[in-house]
Amino acid sequence: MEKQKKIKRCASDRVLITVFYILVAIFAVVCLYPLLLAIGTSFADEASVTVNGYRIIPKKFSLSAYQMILGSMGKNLMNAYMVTIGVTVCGTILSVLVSAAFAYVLTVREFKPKGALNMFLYIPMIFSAGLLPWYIMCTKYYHLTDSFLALVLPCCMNAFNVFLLRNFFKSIPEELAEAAKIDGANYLRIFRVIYFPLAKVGLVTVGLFYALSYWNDYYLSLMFINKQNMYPLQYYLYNMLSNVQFMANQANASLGYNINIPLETTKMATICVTVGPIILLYPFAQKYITKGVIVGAVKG
Amino acid sequence: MYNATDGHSAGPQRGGTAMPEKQKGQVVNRPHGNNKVVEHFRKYYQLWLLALPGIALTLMFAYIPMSGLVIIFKDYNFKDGIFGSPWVGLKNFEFFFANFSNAWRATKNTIILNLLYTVFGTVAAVGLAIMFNEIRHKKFLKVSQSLSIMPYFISWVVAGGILRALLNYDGGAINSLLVSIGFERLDFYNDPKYWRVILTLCNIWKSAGYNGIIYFSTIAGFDTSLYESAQVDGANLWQRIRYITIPLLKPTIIILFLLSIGKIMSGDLTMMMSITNLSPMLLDTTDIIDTYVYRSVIGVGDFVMGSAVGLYQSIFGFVLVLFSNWLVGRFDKDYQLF
Repeated sequence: MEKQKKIKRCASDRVLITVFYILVAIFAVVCLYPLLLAIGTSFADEASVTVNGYRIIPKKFSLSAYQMILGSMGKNLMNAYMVTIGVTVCGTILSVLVSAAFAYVLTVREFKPKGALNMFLYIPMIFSAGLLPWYIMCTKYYHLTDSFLALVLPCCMNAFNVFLLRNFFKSIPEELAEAAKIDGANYLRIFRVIYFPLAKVGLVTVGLFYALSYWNDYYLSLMFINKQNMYPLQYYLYNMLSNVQFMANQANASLGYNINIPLETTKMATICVTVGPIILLYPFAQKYITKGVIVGAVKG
Repeated sequence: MYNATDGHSAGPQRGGTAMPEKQKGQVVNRPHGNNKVVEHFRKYYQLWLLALPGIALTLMFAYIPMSGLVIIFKDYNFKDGIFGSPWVGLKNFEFFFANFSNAWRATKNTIILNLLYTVFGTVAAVGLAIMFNEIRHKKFLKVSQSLSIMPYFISWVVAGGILRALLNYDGGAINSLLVSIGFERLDFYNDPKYWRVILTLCNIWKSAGYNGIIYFSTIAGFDTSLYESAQVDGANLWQRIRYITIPLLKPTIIILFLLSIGKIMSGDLTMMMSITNLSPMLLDTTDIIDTYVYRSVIGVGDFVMGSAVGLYQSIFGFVLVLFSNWLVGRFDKDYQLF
């Protein structure tokens, strides 16, 4: 009787665990599938997409989409790539430095105004002026329209990332700083020699968060960039994807005009080129981002 | 008492060169207001220097725009700017309430969508976390976690572009599937009724894996002895999840849910733009406050309506933050934000 019960219990657990495996596998496939669909379509022949629809394994293989985006559209795409790389590199370096310096100040125990600075950083997280006053300030008073700075400065100081870094800094034993102070080191030196090198994991994590937000951002370019040669990659892609609809309508309305509509395959090829670097980088980034958030998420 | 004596004696004493050691100490310990500030900066100027860029950026992009909220009482024109434009008092509000129906639609959509995101997003993330926790096959766990977190790294623009390949009327993967199993095609891009579901699914796709891994690490930190004793007592896996894991996760879930109430009025403009392209056909269910402000201000140039709605969003959001903070405080004082 006892034995029978045990076997039964194990069986029900085993069923449940099998269900878990299946559900997790389904979710993983759902996450992967759209990307595979984009890759498959980008390698397909345009006519076969029109006839057979989007497929992961194209009915008829063709490289013409890539030839097109690297050929006739290559100059604009390359330009957008350069803007994005420039923004991501400059923005990430600047943001990490600014945030780390601020986060360090928040960890100095004897520095009394740090409570006020904490609050100063915290309030904008819960109350913001909204889109419009912010937009007017940036365009009319800071003159950010069509400038490189417009793509970097507004998201340079992310409160969440600063608090994350502060938590990393807090995990560094305070005795180190105390000892350095007794040896005559000033605050700048303590920051540079002790905190900055010891919080490497935290800095990499926050750096990755910033890099990801710069790479994927198109909000700022949507707001401030009008010049075509300043378009970053995401905004270039956005315009390409949404122009499609617009131009397709135009084409229907005025039959006979020969308008160069971006084809489905070229759109997908551009998408693949855009996410390429992220997909290559993310197995490395994943480790830091999940670990970093878990370490830093301790409320304080 | 100290202050009274300080006022008289601190000045002359500071000037003196040959002071007794004890008096000197007194002056340093109880300096005069002004002197205190100077002293503070002499000691900490390096820290202020380090914080300065961060302070400047936060002022520029968070605090100074708040002053721009006076725009609501102004007849805004670009030439005179926010502060130079003439005052009109409450006239903008009259206009706002006269045109309230669209603003109300935007408000309703924002709240409904955010509730859907929070409820289903949390269910999906917690569910994934619990399932990850039971998977013992190391390699399977690693691969499935890596795949689940991947959408978190992909931008909304790319997601929106791929979504079109899934939902297109002709050739879209979902419609192809529907046709092949004998159903009618669905015209997703011309019918607003599907979009609450689609947007919620997009949100789960993008962030459930990431949040799931965070919950998973929370579960991994739970006391294993609870599970062991439950197992000895004959609890099966389902009972262990139902009566140990979920109750232990409950505080975290409730806190995060309450905190999300504070954000219920704010939407994601870029997500909506990339996924629906602000298509007029779909505005019935997809027009949120952020897209409404964007459309009226940047699209049409109607600053009055845009700013009125923006202010109303900020004020309501603020009230909700206070309210949810109060709720969190009632639930658990430790998690209260301020």
